[in-house]
Amino acid sequence: MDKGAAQSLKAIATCRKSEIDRILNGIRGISGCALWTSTMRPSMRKDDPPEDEEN
Amino acid sequence: MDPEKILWSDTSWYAERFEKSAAALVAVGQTVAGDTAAETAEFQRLFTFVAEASPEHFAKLWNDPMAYYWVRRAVHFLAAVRGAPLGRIEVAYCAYTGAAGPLEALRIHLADFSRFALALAILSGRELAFAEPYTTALPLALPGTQLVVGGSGRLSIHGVTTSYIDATYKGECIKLPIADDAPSASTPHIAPCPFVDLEGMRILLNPALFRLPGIGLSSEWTEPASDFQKLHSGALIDALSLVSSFQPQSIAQFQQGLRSLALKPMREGTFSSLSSSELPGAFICSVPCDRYELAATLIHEFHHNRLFHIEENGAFFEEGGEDPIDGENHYSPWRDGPRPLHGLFHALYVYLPVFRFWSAVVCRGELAGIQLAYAKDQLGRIPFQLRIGVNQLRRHARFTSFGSLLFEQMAAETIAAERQACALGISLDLPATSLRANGTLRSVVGGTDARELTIGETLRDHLEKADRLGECEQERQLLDCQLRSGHTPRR
Repeated sequence: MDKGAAQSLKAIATCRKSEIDRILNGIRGISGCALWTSTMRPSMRKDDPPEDEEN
Repeated sequence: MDPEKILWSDTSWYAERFEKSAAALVAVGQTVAGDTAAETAEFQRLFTFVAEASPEHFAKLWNDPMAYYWVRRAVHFLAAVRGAPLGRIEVAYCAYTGAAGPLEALRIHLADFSRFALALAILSGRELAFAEPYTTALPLALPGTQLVVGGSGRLSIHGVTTSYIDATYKGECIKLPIADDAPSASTPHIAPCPFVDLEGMRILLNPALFRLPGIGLSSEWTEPASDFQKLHSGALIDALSLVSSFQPQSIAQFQQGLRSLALKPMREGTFSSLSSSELPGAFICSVPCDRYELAATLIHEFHHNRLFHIEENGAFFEEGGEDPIDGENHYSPWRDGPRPLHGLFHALYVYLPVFRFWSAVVCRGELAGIQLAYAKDQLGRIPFQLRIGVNQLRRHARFTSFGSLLFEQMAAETIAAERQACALGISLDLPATSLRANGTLRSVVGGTDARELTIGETLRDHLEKADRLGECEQERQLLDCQLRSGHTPRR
């Protein structure tokens, strides 16, 4: 994974405070605060298996 | 904003998603900290343990795909106990675990945080004792590590020392060595999962990672054994080497955005390959498979993951229109059933680098026979499919400005793909070739006389079969014109 991403949780708690507040507001159900990115809903991308008919 | 850079080369998305999911963990910790219920005391203690981890250990732990899955469920269950509706995965989670509602599901889910504390203790060489035993089903993948607690049934874990996990199995106290030289397959044991190394990158082959409540895979496949991963790891290395050779810019990003995958038998399950927005950095693909096609699948699935990362930063579709994720309303040239706009957007995105891979392969001139025929099939087929994808999205989607920026770039790149195919002498009159379920390639035959079909004929057949609403009449007429005249249509 991205080596540049190495940060402690405490450091992230400090530098991402506004994002944490936004997520807290989403958890609390404060109007207008999406729980996650608004349309970032779970999505599965899967491809059909190949057919097995003979020539 | 440079849409080309956003789509293909900007690597800041990977760290961005890690930091966002870590921020969400802080929010979960802060929310639960205000809860005085005795049932959350153990989570609060283990959260503190994780919060004290070094940057390196925490990054290893929280970059794991399972961490994102866990924290999103935690956020949603915390909101649900405050009145928010349960999402689709949370409903499935409750059904899977037998939770009567969001409060019970939250309790179960917070207890599962012990998996992360356990893994962190092993990663950092620290001892940890649980106040309450962590009872879990086996096999259990340990996030941020290569380790899997193998076996079957349920195991109650009491803690971990620097050399073993202390547990109870079937009423007996057992010690599971962390470095087990000769693990038994039939009883609980700790073993590293198989992996492949390429160019300083390690990819874990870890089917147990996908064993998560609510993700919905238990009905879609039977989890393949570790031996199956080892058996086919050579094919995977070959395919990764092909990606490295023909699309080095993608392999460079695999190092940042891909952690684990699972190989499954081609005939097993309801899909050939799969990615989930909930498991960033992990996907499943099928073997045996022609090595070039497997390389194309790696590029395809990796880019689904990359687009999930990009999407984290802004919606592609305006709210208020049709549901872009659950609204399975539209013809897709890649699937037999109707697809939502979000699926078409993803397909458009992932097939652009797949086309470029096949283009680079053909340009180098190494292929012959059925492999060359298949590569040319892809070079003829994909631009036409991309064209339908662009047209379908232009007809039906209401993009945000962010979505529009990315879509118009992909539309321009679709034109470039069409031109590249023409420059390579590819036409829809070439013989259609496809992958069989045994992983080999074959010519496509059809009609009453069982003759070889052209790419154009198979595209036309798919429109006939799957475009039930007649959305792509324009494209159908274009193909009809070609089939009558024997000439490849131009846009």
